[in-house]
Amino acid sequence: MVNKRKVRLMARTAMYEKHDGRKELKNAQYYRGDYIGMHMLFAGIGVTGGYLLTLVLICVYRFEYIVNNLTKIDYRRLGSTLIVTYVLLLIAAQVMAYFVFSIRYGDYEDGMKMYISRLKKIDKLSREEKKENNNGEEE
Amino acid sequence: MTELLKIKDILQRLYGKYDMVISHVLRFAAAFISFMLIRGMTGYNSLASNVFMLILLSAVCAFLPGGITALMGCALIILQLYGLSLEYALITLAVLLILLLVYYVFAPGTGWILLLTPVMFMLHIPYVVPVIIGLTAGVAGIVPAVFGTYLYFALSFSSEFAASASMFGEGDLVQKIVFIMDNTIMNKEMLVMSIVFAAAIVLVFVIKSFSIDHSRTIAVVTGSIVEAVLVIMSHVMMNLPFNMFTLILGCAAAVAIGLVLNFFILSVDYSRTEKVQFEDDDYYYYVKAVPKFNMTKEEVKIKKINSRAADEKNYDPEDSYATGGNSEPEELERQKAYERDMLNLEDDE
Repeated sequence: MVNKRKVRLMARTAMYEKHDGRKELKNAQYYRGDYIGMHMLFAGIGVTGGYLLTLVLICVYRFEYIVNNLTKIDYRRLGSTLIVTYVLLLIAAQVMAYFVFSIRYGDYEDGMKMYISRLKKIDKLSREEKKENNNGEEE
Repeated sequence: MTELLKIKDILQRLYGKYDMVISHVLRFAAAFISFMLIRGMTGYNSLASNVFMLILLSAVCAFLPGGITALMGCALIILQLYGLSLEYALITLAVLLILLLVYYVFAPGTGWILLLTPVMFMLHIPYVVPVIIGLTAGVAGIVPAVFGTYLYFALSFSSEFAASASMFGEGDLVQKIVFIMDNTIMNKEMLVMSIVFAAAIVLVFVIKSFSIDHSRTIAVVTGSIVEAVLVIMSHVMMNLPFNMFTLILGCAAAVAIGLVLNFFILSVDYSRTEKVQFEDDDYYYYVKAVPKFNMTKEEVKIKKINSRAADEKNYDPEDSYATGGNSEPEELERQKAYERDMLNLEDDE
């Protein structure tokens, strides 16, 4: 006999696995620290690449000025400005990444918790069903 | 209003029934229209201007996520600009790479905005962009909207650049790059529109988030009006040209599209028909889950309590059974009930 409640739960679980679960279950497998750390690293690499590209664009745009003032530019000041800007951007990106991915991991965890509780319910129903079947056979 | 609700209901049912076909057709149409608009504005590369090629690309995009369509659109833009000038293409590629590296680490799901913004500009309804983004993606959509605005200005300047390309000789590489950047990245109007869009997106998103009745409708109307005021103020302050008539029409279109989006898309649960397979120890299950719809048919019944005495005086049994020649199934049933009751009455007598 098909157990309606169990089929409903199994269908919901299968739908979750098919859609949101595909991404959520994959990411929730990481430890919280690993997941956030990994994305903070990606954010750092992204910001570094973006900063370098922006610098290249600025250099090309101001190429004439740079060539004309090659000897007059205060390189120490320019270097420190560039490094300070980079560090500030990197810190901002890291802080942002920490908050964004903490929230996201929390959402994935919630999805995972619901998924596990459904699996437990299905397991419980299956055990009850088996027990009933065994009792019926013994009688 | 009842008619609108019925249309909404029909749309919901249709989507529930043919969701696979409808979503793919819509994706194909969106991709094809976007690619054709890009082709219409440029046309410098024979491969990226080939209609058959664009149809093929749109067909591929129909089965892929929206972000991939945006990526394809960007690739087409780069290809077209490469046909015009290598420097132009490289600058645009560098700007898009900056966006990809810095922003898409945080919000990879907002790629579609990058293509939507230039497409709306090409359709002459750019003021719709903040309304759509504010209602859907929220503040996460500001950065791609700004870069999308850049893409449009890069495309619109391409024809001007093509006309003045003969000004530059072989060795004028730096002058060429400065000329391109002055008119695209440093374009005053582009910067102004980006700031206005960002402000309008924040406003629409904030009002939409209020827990008040009709918050989305209020957000659409207020956002569009404030956007129009900001456009006028910023253009006047920066001495930039603008057309009042186009602005008013554009903002009216923003309100209309925002309301349609809200009524027919955002406030409807287009739950799909799901087909899933699973198994337990005894059975294999092939389940088709069909979403339930609440509204089936609007029935409005008006009961006049005050006019009871007058009704009793003029009481006609035929009226109460509505036998006025109406051929609706319910009316036919009522008519049958009337005839049956009349026969019973005759029998009793």
